[in-house]
Amino acid sequence: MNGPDLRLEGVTILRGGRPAVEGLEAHFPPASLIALAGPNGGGKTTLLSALAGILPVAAGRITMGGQPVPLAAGRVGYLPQRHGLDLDFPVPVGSVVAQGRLVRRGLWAGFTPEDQEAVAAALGAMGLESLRNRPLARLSGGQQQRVLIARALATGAEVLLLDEPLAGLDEATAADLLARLRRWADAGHLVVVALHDRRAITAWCSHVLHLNRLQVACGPVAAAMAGGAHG
Amino acid sequence: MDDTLARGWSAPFDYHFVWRGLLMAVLLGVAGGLVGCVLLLRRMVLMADSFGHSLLPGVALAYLVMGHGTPALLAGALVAGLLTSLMSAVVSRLTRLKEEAAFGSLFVLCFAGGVALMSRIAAPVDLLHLLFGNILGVTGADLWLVWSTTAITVLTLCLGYRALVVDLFDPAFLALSGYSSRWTHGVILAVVVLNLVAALQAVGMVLALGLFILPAVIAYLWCDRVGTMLITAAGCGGLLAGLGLLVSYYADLPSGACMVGVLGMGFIVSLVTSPRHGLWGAWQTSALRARAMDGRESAGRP
Repeated sequence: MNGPDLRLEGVTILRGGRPAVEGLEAHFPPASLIALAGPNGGGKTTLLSALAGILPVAAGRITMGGQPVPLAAGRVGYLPQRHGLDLDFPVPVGSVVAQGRLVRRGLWAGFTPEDQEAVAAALGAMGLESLRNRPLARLSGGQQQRVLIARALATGAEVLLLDEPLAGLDEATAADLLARLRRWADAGHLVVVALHDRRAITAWCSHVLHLNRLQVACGPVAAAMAGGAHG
Repeated sequence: MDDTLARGWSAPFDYHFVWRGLLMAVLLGVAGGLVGCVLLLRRMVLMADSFGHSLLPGVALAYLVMGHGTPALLAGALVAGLLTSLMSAVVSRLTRLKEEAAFGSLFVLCFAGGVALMSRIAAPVDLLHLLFGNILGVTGADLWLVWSTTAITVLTLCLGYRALVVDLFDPAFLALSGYSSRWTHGVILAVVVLNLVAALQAVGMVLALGLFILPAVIAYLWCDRVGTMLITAAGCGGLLAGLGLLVSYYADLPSGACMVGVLGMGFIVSLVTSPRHGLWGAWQTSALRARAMDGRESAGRP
């Protein structure tokens, strides 16, 4: 299968001078939807930040598709949990998703048909075609979350990192979002998502990495969950 | 009789200084509206207010060294603006204080120092002039400063529009896309300082923020896109500031207060009547909700 894999080799990441995660060893094949499970403070957000290249790795090595992190801008889409965005911002859905093309097109060049296609594909992948011209402020929380994910997809990213994307969503909306992420991963991409919901992990994810500062369990969902690891 | 009345109304337009003031008011309203949108969307309105006050010691020192005049004002204000923003950045990075608290504390201190300095080196009328402005007393050089400021503001927003919108909405995403937010922040601060200096002579330090923020909130109450918000703010900023200047002439009231007052009226009208984001919109939404609840309750009754 084409697309990047994810490899962690003895990874330790510090927060405030102390190890937030320690000695992680794992390998996930391409086209995986990987759940990061574990208690609050277990290191899920820390690991996602390191995968995004925001936090440095203190020891060990993280590679995606054989390349050490941080990958080049535009190859990884990251949506933090506390993004602190003003969701009343006066901007229509289509424009937010088109912001994803900034990394390819730069600050001044006009959009090409390729950009239009990427934006349309991202809107389609998140089921937002009919909401393209609607102001962001007039969407529900779940729809706004999908808009931000669509923007990450529009960058042309191969890897998507999402921190608790289901927070505040009802069960049906959460299942719809995970189904869309699963389809995107199956197309050869890599999705790493911090999740608490054990049922959602079992139903939609292909792999799980259970963290509680140290690595508790890791592997394909069925095997790892049977081993007693869950979030 | 009618002829005399018409003559009375058109009398101010016979004076060169009124035309100059009117042009300046319109230009300041246009540029102020644009800057105000950026400040509003970046949630920097109160910080900009403190920032304006912090320019006073720079202006006072420039006055002392270089005397009265536009270049002196500009140089003093720019140096003061740069130094105070640098100081607050250092304080917020090295101590527990957040940038907003550092800004607030340092800037009020600067303002106090500026007032003390001005009282030593200038006549009280100069201080009052800086605090409240007098647009009908501006010189040709002041008008050039305002022309250039408006042109620079419009050009900066046009050239930096794409980066600016992403930065205002989500600076972290701009960084992930390979662009530093520091540049946009620096450019925004520079444009704010320039506009504050340009507005200093006309409306003064205290009321300058009104020229920025009022057109922006009017536009924010009506628009759902950044582009239309910017155009609306520039348009109504220019129009209402110009109208305010004429009101000040006819009513013989201070020009700065009238310009901000007319903009304020525009804000109140928008606040009440905006169908989506104003009080009228909120009232309609709650009435619709109540009707829907009533409908559901009556449908549930046997």
